[in-house]
Amino acid sequence: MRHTAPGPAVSYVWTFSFREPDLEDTLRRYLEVIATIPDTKDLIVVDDGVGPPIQDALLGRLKAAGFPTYLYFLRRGGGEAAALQTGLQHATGETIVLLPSYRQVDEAEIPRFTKAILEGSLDYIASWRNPRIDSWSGRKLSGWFNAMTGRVTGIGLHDIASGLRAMRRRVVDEVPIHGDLYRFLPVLAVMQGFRVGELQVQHVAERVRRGDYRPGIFVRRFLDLLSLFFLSKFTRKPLRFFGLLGTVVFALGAAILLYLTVDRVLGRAIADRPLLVLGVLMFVLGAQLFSIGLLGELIIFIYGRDVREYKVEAVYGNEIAR
Amino acid sequence: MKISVVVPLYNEEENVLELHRQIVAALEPSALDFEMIFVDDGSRDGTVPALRGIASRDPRVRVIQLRRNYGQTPSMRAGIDYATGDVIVTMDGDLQNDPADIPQMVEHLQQGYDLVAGWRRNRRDALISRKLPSRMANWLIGKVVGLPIRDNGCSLKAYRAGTIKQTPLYSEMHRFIPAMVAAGGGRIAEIPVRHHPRLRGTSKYGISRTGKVLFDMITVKMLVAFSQRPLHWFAMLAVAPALLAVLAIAYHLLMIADPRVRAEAVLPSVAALFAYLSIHMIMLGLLGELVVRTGRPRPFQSVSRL
Repeated sequence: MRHTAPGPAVSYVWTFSFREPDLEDTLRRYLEVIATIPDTKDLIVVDDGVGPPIQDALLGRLKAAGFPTYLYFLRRGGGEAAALQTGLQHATGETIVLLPSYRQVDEAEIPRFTKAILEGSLDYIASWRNPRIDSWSGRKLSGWFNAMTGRVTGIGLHDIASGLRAMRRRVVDEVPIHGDLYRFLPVLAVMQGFRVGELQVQHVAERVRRGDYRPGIFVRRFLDLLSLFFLSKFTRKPLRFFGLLGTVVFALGAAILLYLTVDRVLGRAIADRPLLVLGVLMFVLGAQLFSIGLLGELIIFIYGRDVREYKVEAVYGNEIAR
Repeated sequence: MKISVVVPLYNEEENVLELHRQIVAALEPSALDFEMIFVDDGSRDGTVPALRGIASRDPRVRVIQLRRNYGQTPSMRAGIDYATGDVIVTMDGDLQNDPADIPQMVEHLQQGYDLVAGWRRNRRDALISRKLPSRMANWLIGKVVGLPIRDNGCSLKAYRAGTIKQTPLYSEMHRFIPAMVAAGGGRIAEIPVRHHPRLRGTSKYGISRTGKVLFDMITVKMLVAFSQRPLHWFAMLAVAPALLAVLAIAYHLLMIADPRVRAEAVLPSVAALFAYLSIHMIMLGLLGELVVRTGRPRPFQSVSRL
């Protein structure tokens, strides 16, 4: 749902999902900095299920902000992705700046960041918290995760998870964000052909939030990455992925079976050899992988063929209707 | 009748002026109405400024600038989507195809064909890296897909607009357009065309495509033959493992029929694995039916003639 009235130059979006003592302090810092931005602006706050006592305090601050502010309340708490989606839906600005839900970046960087997206030619700017003031393990984990993402998707960003992000309206309109993939927004933007860059920002000490280091997180991130890898390279050609995998496994299985057959012909019994089971297993697995690829191709053919893969940047010359 | 010449371009700044001149020189003498659609596939050189210059001088030119580099098939698709002619001609932007062949191809098309493909009889490319792989691919595509076209890779082709606009064209499927058109009941002709060596700019092809083309070919074969009834196809894949399972279990029974032989677990395991694969294929076929039955009713449109 986009508002039809012309929006401000910049919409700031701040979402939070956890009841934390310093929410009010974070908002105060954001409001003070945003008030100094010379362009027209507004702030969209999405309260993802935190609710009254804190919310009332925040509302008081928002009313005294001196520029348009909006607060949306997801009563049940829809999760970070849903909160972000709500915020983006109600942001009317030509440019949108997402603010970290808790303090990650020195807020004094926000004007410089805003200026970069407003005056530069990029469609999306990621922030890179550098140098990082983190525990050694946090730095290592984050570095490893970013390197992996870069390797898998071919995008050279240093800090994909950083919460301060700036983008043009058309990125939000055209990039499909569902589920946890919002973390990979810059990657999705590049896939849609947008120009993406990054800007170094001053990192501040972050409070470790509950749930940040549950082991399940790593499994989920890994699955996200796997899905991103598959989608970015093989959406239109699933057989190239499953087919290659299947062919390799199938060939190994076939080689084992061939070896056993030769052995049998030379007179050695094979029926009691576990290698036979391994050979057949790989043979079967290979065929299975391949057949899944075929089904994938069928799905793309039936449902994906009318979706245009290309995005047009501009049309020059004779402007007749399509 | 109007002709749309669609040319995808990627980093061809040195060639666009000459290309435009050649197309105009080839089509202006004929009485045909025509337009040129140049698709810039995210070039990083001066291709776009050069194209804009041409478009500002010649009202028959439209330039479609894509947001990034998508590859040949999507850029071809873009050009076809924007084309307004009754006949659409596609060609490469590297000057290796000769626009002088276009009138002859269009003439052929009017004799009642839906697609006229160019055949580079005297191909002027490197033998080992370009011509040999291409020849093998064409032979294989002819065998597997069952369409005896000598030169699937030649971009110079003429289509009826109604035909090509309905043909599925995604991923890197441009090589298989003739096969897809034939699957929809279209009539196809192939005529020899001129081919020139590349003078300027660099080729964007390499031998690395071979494996990809193989998988794409299997895909097309499946789509053409069985996208209407996937269960039949997957059921065929289920036959061989089912036979192997029966064979393994029969052999096992034969062996344990002799009371002196101690039963081994290996053969039943083998039989179980093959049986499992067989069932998997059938289930996948059912899933395929589900996909096809809920999707578009006729995946390959039958073509309409003028």
